[in-house]
Order: sequence, then structure tokens, then C-alpha cells
Amino acid sequence: MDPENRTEPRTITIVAVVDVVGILASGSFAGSFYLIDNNRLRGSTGEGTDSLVTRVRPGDRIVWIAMTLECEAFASITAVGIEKEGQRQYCDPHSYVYPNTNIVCWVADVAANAGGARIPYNLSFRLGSRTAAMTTTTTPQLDVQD
Amino acid sequence: MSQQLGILVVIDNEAAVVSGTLRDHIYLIDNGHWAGSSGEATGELVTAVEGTQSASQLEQQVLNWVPFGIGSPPVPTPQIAFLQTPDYALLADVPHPVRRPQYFQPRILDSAGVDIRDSLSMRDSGGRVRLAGAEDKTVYYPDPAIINITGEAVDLGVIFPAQYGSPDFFSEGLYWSATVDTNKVGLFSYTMHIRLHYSTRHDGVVTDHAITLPHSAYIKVTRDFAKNGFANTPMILPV
Repeated sequence: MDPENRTEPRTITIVAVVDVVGILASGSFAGSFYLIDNNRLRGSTGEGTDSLVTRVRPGDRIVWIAMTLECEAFASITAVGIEKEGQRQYCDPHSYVYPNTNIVCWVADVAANAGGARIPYNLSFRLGSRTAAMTTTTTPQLDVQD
Repeated sequence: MSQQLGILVVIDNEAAVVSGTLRDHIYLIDNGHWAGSSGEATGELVTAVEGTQSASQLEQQVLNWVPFGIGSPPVPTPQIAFLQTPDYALLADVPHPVRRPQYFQPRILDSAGVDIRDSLSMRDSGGRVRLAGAEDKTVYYPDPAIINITGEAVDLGVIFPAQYGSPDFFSEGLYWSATVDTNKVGLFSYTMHIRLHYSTRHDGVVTDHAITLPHSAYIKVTRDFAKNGFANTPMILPV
């Protein structure tokens, strides 16, 4: 590990893998939704489950992206919802478009005063041709280091 | 008409390079859990493949491996009619696919032969600009590349893997695919050889590195009939 990176703010990516066919066929995310981040070495737990706990530090940037299992399936994140209103000051997800592209992801910066907070969130997706968004009901969270 | 099974190979590149192993840093997910696959989103995926008991058996089931590095920008979402009005506004500019180098980026030399990458600012997947500098640094390129598939399943003629080219953005133009001989019922292991890239700058000199790491997973061929997904009926020829 690069020792100098220890104090630099990091960008941590959370990949939401969705089995679009499975979700639309069953009407629920159970068994068809997996969250994975790239911070396991620094303390994230629950990798690959629907209740990932992502370890972050104040000042880090979190990026959420969606990935499908088939190239023909459409999935896009429509919202990242911080469930507890009082915690939105710590982390305010907003959509971000990569410059000169039409590719959207969701990003949030962890506030400097968020140390020690555990921030549960949910994800809303548009899937396939279904116009209404579907929202996850499990409890992934951001675990902010002191 | 073959049944296409997809296996997503999600890798945390930096963690794998630093640890020297893919164990705990590779997550395999297939779209066959309805057919009996187990170990989804772990390194120990068992992909279930149903036998088809019909003619042209060797072409009925096809496995496709798609590598994806955590930390890459997302794959461009296909342009389809499902977009809602606010999304159309995003299309006002001509869209360009985000560059997702499958292999590490070449050095960019100026006319004097000096590597000018250091003076370029690049964005990471969160849109943050990484400031150029001269200090010692290591950069891990997030995209993994599968360079071979070997092992028991290949040696016994259960799967016939090869690398194919594709213009599809989803696979960045290269992916591994294998037909399955569903006559061979049983549990078989196969090994993916995955190459990860990183670059180091030390005392002002940039050196590019690659490390190839193996990882094994499983395929389970069963005696079950492949099913027509709409009618949930077995796909067999009339006798």
C-alpha cells in the first residue's frame, strides 16, 4: 500500500450488481442484488451481500454505479436515499454525469464532521422497461471512521 | 439457439495486487441461480448448467465471462426508448463512451520523447481530478483482463473456451466464451488466469507492471432439462 495515500482522501466505488431478469420476475431484490466495494482491505464487511458496510473516512468520495448481468438488460440508479434525515448533512448523494458523456453515476462526499457515524442508505433503480423505480429494502451502510 | 449464461467477474484490482492473491478480492456472479448455481458473489461460484438432451448438444449452453474492475467508470448504458424526459436532456451533447482501458495506458511522449503523463490531470471514477506531481506514487488500473481459461473442465472436454472480439461496449471488445458439452454430467473446476496492471513512479521514473493471478471456480453439469423460460416447460424434441 502506498503509505502517502493513507491520509489522502480516497474515492471508494460501490458496485450494485443487479440481476434485472430475476428482480422483475420475482418482484423483489432478494437473491438478485449484490453490493461490492473496493475498500475491503481497510475494513468494509459484507462484500457481495445486499447489506454491505462500507468503511470510509471523512473527506472520502463515494461513487455508486450499477452493473447488470446481461448486456441486453437495462438498469440505472435513480436515487441513493439516506434514510435518517439528520444524517444527510454528513453525506448528500447527488447524480453526476461524466464530462462529455451521457453516463450517470451517483456520488457523495463524506463530510469532515461525520466521524463515527453509521449511515444506512437505500438504492432506487429503474429496471428494464418498468417505468416505476424500485427501491431496495435491505440495510447497506457507510461506516465512517473517527 | 443456444442459452447464453453470463458470469460477471468483479475484481478489486488494488487489493489483489497488494495482497498478491485474488482470494477475497474476486466476486463471481452468474445469471443462473434459478438453475441451481451457488456461491453467488463469492470467489467460490458453482455455475449450474442444465443438460439439454437434444440435438446439437454441444452448442446448447454457452458460458460468457465478463471481467469488471471495481473503480472503473461504469459501462455505457444502452440507449433505449425507456429513457424518461430528464434523461433526454443529458443526450443533448453527442455522447462519447468513457475510456475504459482494458490494458494500462501507453506512455504519452512529446516530440522530445519525454513522458508528459505527469503533467496531465486525470479524473478518477468519482470525477475527482488526481493532481499530477513528481512524488513517488502507485496507480492501480482498475480493469482486469482474463488471459486464459484452463483446468479440469477444459482438459476433460467439458468446456471449450476461447477469447472473442465484440463491438459491444459491455465487454470492451474482448471476452471469453465457452460452449459446454452437456453429455459430461458432474462437478468440474476451471481456472481463470487474470492479469492486473499497475504503474509506479519512483524517483521520477514511471514503470509499468503487470501481474497474472489464477483463480478457480466450478461448473456443475446436471441431468436437468433446460427450460423454456416463458412456459417453464422442458426444451426437448418430441419423441
